[in-house]
Amino acid sequence: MQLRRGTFTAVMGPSGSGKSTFLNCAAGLDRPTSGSVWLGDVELSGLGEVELTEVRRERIGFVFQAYNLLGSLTVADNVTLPLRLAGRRTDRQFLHQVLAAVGLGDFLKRLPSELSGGQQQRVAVARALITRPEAIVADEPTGALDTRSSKQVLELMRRVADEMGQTVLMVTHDPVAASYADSVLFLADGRLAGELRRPTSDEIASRMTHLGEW
Amino acid sequence: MIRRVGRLLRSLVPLPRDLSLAWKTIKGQKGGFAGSFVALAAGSAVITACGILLMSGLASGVAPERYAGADVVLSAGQSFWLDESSAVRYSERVTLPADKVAAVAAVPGVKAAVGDVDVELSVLNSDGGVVGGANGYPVYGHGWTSAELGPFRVGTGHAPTAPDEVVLDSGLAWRAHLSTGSTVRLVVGSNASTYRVVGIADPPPGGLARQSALFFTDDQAVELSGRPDQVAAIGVLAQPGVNPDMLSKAITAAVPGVEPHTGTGRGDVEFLDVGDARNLVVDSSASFGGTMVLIVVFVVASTLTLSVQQRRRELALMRAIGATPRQIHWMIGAEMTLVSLSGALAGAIPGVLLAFVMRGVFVLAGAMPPDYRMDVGVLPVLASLVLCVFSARISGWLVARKVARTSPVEALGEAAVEPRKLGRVRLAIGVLLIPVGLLLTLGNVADSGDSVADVAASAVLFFVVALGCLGPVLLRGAIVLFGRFLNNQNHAAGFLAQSNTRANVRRLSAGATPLAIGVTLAAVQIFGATTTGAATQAQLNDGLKAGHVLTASSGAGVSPQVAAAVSSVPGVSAVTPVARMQVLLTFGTQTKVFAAQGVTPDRLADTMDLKVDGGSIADLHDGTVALSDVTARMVNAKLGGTVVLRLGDSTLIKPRVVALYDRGLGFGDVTLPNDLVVAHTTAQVDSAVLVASAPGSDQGALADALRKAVAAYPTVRVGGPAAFSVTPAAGDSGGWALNLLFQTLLLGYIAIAVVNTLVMATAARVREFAMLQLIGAGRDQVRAMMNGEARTVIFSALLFGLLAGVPSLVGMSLGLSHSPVPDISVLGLLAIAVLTVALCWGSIAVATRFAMRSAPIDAIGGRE
Repeated sequence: MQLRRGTFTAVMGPSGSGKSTFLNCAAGLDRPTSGSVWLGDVELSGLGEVELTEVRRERIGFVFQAYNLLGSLTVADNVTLPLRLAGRRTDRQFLHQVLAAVGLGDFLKRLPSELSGGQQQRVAVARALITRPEAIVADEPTGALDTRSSKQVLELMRRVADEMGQTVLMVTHDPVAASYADSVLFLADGRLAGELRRPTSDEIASRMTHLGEW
Repeated sequence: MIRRVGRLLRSLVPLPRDLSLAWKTIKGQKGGFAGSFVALAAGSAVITACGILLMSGLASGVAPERYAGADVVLSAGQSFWLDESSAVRYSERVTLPADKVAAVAAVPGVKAAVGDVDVELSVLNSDGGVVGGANGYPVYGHGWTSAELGPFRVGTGHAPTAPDEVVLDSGLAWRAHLSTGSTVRLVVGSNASTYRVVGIADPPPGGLARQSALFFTDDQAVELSGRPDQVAAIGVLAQPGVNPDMLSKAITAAVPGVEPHTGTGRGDVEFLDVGDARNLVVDSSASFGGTMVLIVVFVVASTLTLSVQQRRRELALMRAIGATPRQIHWMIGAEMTLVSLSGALAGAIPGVLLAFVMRGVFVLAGAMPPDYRMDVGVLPVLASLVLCVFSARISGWLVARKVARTSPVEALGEAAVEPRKLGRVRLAIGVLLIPVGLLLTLGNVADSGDSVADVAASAVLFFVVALGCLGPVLLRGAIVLFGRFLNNQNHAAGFLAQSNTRANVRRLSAGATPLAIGVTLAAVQIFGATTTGAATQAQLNDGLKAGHVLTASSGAGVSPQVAAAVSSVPGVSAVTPVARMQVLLTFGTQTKVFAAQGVTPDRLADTMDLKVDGGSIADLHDGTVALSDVTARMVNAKLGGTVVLRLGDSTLIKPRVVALYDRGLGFGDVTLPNDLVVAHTTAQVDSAVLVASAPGSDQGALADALRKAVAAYPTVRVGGPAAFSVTPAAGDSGGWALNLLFQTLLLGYIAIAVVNTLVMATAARVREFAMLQLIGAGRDQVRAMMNGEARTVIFSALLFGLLAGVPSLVGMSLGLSHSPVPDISVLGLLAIAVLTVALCWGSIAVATRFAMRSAPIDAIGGRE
């Protein structure tokens, strides 16, 4: 299976269907027992732990369900943390650009505890973008958010794919969230169980019902 | 009423369903409870050990040997009672008037009463060498009548009937290769005489392990004891069928001024060191065990606070779904009951081992005879169980109170930044304690009853409490001022470490503050001891002018005649006999122990310069005393005034103060006329004789001349100034060892608290570490970040810990040696630093490794 650059793909499936394993392999967190994973021209499945760390740092951005930010760092420091860990200089202009893009241009000096949950997730997206990665991997990024905040975050992901040309891979349970994607992959019992392109949330929901409980 | 009792019971004893919930919580939250468990197990071990020592001190001892056949042994009061419960032991044998023997013999039920005298002596073999007693213990001479108390039975030969006849116990005879008919030279004091061995006595059934015995005729024994009207003890044989305890009562009712001892207690009279040890062990284990309970509450409460903070959400959830504050109390109470019961049980066996380790230390320090029996019973373990559960419940209650009060909404909210401000009262207390502490340490403000140095040393508590109050503020200051130097801001790990420490000062200070307190206590303990030792040695070095010192190679000491014998040796300019004992000074309502020496004032400055700075030491005659400046101030004595003084054998005198001097630490705080001290030591001897030479005399020739002069005294040795040892510190012989042991235990416990706190705080950061790794941090970067945080904690703890110890040490040094510079050993500093680093860095490094054990993606999704 191939994910084209600049597309937004959602992964769905019942619990235990292999979503997380799929995501971990795709993001270089886990090595597949069979098959191979390529990111651009690099085969992730053949790399050692140190190289994988470097790949993650340089070429993949992460957004998690919760606990994305360090409470002791400001928004700006949290966003630039991957660069710092890689020992790279921060491009101030790009930082402002990214924060403006996620709608938090005025929040540079705030601490995470001073932000709402949705704002915190958008900071996490900004952090994922700061390294100009080849792919953004999101694991239930809206799982802990209310409808309005979810909408903002999902729209942001959509824009990231469309306007910034990033490849976005998102695992979710929520048909509404998945409906923002270009295509939805369904997994069941560790196998690919189908794909929907440009689906509506109702289509997704009925497909999920078909797959079993969700 | 019944409901109220029910509720009370309910709050103490958890119901089964509370317990099963608690058990599930504990299983799910192992990390959080491990801290409390370890703290409780260690506390239980110490409390059990103290309990065992206390029980052994109260009930056990050393069985009598020579008094094994006596039903009751009577002695004079060997203790001075400070109050109802605490006593000081006199350093010399307190004797009984000999006429009590007849009075006791007249009491109904008494078959016989025998007055016993002890004469410490040395047995010489044919080539002049000394034959030691059993197991290295001394040989004592007694009157033959007292053989009945053993009973000793003559195996071969007959009982002594003439003044020059002696009977030896069979072991001693075998070691000295003596048999009936041979002659033996015996040295009493320094005087040697020849006796004929007329009999060998079989020891009592239990044998002789702590002494060897030799019997004179009764008259000769009394003669040699030097106290014709006194006996050391009275052994009583009961008439058949008379119960010893009933007999004791009858005797004390009829004869005032005697203390009855039965059973193992008789050994205390026979062996004074056993009684000393009993007193020491009971006193110290009781007070230390009590302190330990408080510390357990404190440590368990602090670890529990941390684990409860980590489960804040869970508890808030319980509140939100309808648990009442009381139910939260019950839940935490049940958890604490389980944890404390298991912790206390886990600590019981190590506690028994610890008791034996502590006993070993006492023995090494000479505070406890090696044959002192330990009583290992169930009672100390039960007591520790009850105390541990009790203290855990108290700390659980303290913590639950705080949790139960917070509203669920507040607690469920996103983990807020930690509260930045300390309470105002806490800040004010902390700030105010510093000037108070400074005044006490440097202000020279000792009140009567304490020396300046003691006050300075105990003022460390003020600084310790101030540290506790101001810890977070101080830590924040250190991070702001020094953080940049400790952690390189250009590296991601250094930057993160600095940001984390700045943002989480409270979390960090939970580990750093006790660590700093430990550093302070250790520094004051170690450097206080080195400062005292150095000041003592310096005083002795500066004050000892004598070029030659006579001491005894065996036996109790040097007889007074020896000083006279060497005073006429050509080239000798001054001779000072020095006798030592411990005396009690009573002032106001207090009584304290001081080291005393007895000297002759004649040309004293030539042999021993006490640095007299008031009055004249030449006036030191009958009815007078000289005091060190520190002591005079402590007991509020003025030149020309009198002091209330009890000699080592309890004799009360009220001498007039004729001189004050500076060098009390090196030579003894109380200086009395030599003949007075000699007369009241057990063996009536000097410890040493100081000899000063006339200017220009040949030292080697003088030493030879001295040796010739003392040739008649086989046990006297001529040595250099080094033979004159430092005065044993006032108080009990093992006091310092005890102090050290208990301080070590205390510091060890603080260490457990520190490790607990650091491990728990670090291990709780699983998700933070996972997130860092997911966004591209290498494991080494996470470790480097934590090393940076550890560096900050270590640096701050050492900085503030040592700073807090400085005033006390300077104050001590000022009080002891007039110099503001304490004696700080590099080795001691190094040891403190190494321990601090090992504790802090070790716990953080291990916990970090542990927290990064699972794959980051699993960890970040996992539960809090």
